[in-house]
Amino acid sequence: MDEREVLERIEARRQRASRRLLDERITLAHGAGGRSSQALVEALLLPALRNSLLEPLADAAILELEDGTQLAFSTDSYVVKPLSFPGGDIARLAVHGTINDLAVSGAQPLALSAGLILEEGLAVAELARYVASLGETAREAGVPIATGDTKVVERGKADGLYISTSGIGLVAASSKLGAQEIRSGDRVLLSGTIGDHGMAVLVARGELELEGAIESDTAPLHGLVAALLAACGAAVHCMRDPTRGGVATALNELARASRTGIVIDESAIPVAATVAGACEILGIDPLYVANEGKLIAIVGPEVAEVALATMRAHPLGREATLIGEIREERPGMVILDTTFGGSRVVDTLAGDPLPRIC
Amino acid sequence: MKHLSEYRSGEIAAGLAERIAALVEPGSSYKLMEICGGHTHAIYRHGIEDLLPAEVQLVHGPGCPVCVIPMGRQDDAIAIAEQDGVIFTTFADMLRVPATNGSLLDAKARGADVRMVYSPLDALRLARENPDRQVVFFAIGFETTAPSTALTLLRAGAEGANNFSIFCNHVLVPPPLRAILDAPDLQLDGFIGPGHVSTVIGTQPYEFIASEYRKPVVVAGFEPLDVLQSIYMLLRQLTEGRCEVENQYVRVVRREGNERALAVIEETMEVRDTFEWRGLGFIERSALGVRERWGQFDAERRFELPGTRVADPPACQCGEVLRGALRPWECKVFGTACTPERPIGTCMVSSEGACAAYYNYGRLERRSERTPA
Amino acid sequence: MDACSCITCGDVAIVARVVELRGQSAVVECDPPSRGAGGAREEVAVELVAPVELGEQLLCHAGVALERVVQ
Repeated sequence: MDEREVLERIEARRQRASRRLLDERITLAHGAGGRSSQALVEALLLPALRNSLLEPLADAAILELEDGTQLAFSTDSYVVKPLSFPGGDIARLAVHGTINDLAVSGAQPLALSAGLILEEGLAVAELARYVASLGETAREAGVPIATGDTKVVERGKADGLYISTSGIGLVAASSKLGAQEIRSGDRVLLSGTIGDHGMAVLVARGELELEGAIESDTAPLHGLVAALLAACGAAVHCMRDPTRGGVATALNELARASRTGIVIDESAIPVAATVAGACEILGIDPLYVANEGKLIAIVGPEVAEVALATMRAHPLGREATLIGEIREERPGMVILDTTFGGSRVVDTLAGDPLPRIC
Repeated sequence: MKHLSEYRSGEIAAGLAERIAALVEPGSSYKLMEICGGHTHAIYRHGIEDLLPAEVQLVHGPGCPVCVIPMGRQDDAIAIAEQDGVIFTTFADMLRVPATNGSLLDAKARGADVRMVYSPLDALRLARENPDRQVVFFAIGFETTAPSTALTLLRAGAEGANNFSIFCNHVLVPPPLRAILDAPDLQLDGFIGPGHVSTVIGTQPYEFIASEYRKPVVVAGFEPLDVLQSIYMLLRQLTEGRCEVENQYVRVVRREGNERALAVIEETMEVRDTFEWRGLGFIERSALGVRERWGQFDAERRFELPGTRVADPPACQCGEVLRGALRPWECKVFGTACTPERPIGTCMVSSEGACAAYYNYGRLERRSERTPA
Repeated sequence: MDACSCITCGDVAIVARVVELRGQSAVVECDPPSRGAGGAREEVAVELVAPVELGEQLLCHAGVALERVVQ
């Protein structure tokens, strides 16, 4: 067997949708957004829950009502440690995260729910602070928290506070977004610097002898998305907010789902100096570090310039760049052209050493 | 100091690549081994192979300390981690390495208190903060990491920390090189020497490779231009018929190494008579253990360990891959029975192992062969 | 971690500049590649290279400075 045959055999195995979950117990790797998380969803959750709304495993499910109205519906839970970090806190993440899942599905967010799980012993003053932050964040974004729930668990069963949010949004009638819309020749745009959130939380934990003024990028993306859709319409083919697992994981999911290859240019990807320095110290590739306020947009080549200008005109997209393009070759793979003049595969991680960053 | 970006310049790289191409005799082959996993990582991360003529083949050596730890030692580590009252600290790299009954991450899921640290000094700090717990540090790594462990032992001694110990698995670079050079199916033409190990031990310990085995060595830094330049220097030696130990990484490496780092290792640790390496078997005088005088900080003395030897799986061809006799994809279990998620052999265990690196990054045609958009 | 270098146990160390002295330790700043100064900071032990001066470049690994970088 020659090298190419071996590689093709491996590629075929890697692409196979159903993965086996071989682990006997849940480990932190299952929550990290990499291959273990994927196996948990595809091998355990999806078979038990399978239905046509869930099946696409998108950021939000799209429900079509009898009158043709399309609603986007999404949910997410937040267990970040510590609860506060430079640039944000668990409440801001919880509001922004669900808004962003709706926004990248092409929906205008209408309302959120918030479920609070409180640990016995949590100071009321501290809780009041996070609840105030929850309200303020929702008001800033213009998306009300319309319903909620609280539960208390015994001391030691939760780290102070967990928050779970769900949201619904209205999808514009003309909207056709998703990995299935991605075409060879499309351009890949990124709204700004990568890795800020993950590294901000890591530094805030204070477990490492690491210092640095890194702020989380947590932000609601629905305004940026609305501007982009208004400017480029149906030429916007797909959007993602690269959270857990970072830009690398988000692009891998898109490459797999669209059966296309994605080639990105290392020198075009913006990374803040402090984030790049911290990543260098820890040996972490910023491509795999979480973001909470960044947008990846895949657009037709004819609108790439307009899309980029639109993103740059928005406060959350000032540092937007064109980072790559969609190819027919090597479907399912993400390839990075390095600054050095070489290239490499950017794969999904098996695990992640940075647990509980959102 | 030159700015780091200068060591990553695509322009300078292109010029160097041309000079390399000019040295290569068409049709001949040059098999160069980079000993160190850090170089393997740099080669893939920056796509350095794309800049080399097809005649130059890089063979990924045994330089990943995670990969070479035999499964029995990993079992011992988990046995310590699962004892009551123990906080077991480790570098992130070891968390996912499979042992007989799962990895340290699985042990953590079963209830063991396993924590990730970036320095053994962080583990000592944890011992100070948790006086009622036993804190154990899983010490692994080559001569680069041994000084950090040694310094931590010295500080633990000075503080009189009685709840701190290390499970020592430090290994040495030169002994396995001799084992590789002694193999009958050796097909290597030269070596890229490890830069940071050499910061500590110097370049002198590689001189036997040039004098006894007549193979050139170039000790190299880790920026992509360092690696490319070291390949150029090796090819020059080969075309000029020289066999020397050259130092490309002069900005940090001295022939005699760092005497103070060597002294703290010498003070706290001693060379073991023999140590087992995954894929390479037992190699004499190839690892460090804690000196008797520092025995109170030695987890092997403090805890009961199973100490069971687990043989390498028979299907595994890591030995041949490490000697350059097989390319990763030529191994009969590569990518099928042996994958990064379920590794069988040492080379697939850590991302810096030869097979895992190839599996994760190497599966594509060279950039120069791609059809332009 | 896959796809990221095995920085702690492997033969990987980073070059960083001394910005503060703290007895047996120093705070160093890692200037990221391809960008200006102002990277992240960490505290490292400096016994093996002492005495160090502000502005010096050190090669650091697992919380310890191993060598001084010279041009």
